[in-house]
Amino acid sequence: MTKKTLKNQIKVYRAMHDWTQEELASRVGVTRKTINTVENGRFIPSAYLAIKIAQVFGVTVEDVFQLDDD
Amino acid sequence: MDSEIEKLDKMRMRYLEWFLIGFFLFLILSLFRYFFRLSGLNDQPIGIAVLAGLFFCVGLIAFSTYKSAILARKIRQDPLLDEALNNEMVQSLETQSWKAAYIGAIATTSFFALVGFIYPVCDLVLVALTSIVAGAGANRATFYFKYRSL
Repeated sequence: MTKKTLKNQIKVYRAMHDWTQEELASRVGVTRKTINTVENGRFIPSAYLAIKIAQVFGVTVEDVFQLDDD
Repeated sequence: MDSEIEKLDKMRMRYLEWFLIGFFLFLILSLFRYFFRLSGLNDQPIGIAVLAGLFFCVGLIAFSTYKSAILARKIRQDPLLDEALNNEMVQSLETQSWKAAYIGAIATTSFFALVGFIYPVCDLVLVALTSIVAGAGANRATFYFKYRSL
């Protein structure tokens, strides 16, 4: 059984929208640190936060977050 | 709102820094006070300076705790701020901090229990207070350093 890790495309979508981490944080309603830790994979967000992040980008959760084999 | 969230987040960490500075200085100065008592230096100017330092630390701890409580109340009263600043990451760190507090308190109590076999520990209030202080310090230090390291 292989271990799965949660990858994300937050940085890509931020670049597409030309948003800083602070700007994204204010749109999602969290601190910049929270966005930073999620973006760098140091913190796995709840489904609620993942949906909120996807919503502000206007995409689905699967577009932003994917499970990858380690 | 965005800048307010960041501002409050920084304030929360600043008050925590003040608490930890006061807390660790208090521990160090308490040791000085203990050893000065053994050497009879507590009545000397240096001993009085250490005592003044201890009072300053208590004041700093009390002030930072008060400011933290006011800030926490302000955050709780606004659902948006509460959601942003007490999010799941903070809640997870709080849980880890309470675990550290539990271990800190248990370790301190165990230490005194072991010492009690060799040297009679008569002051049970001191043991209880030290365990509580160790637990509180471990709690806040864990939260601060884990939050900073993220």
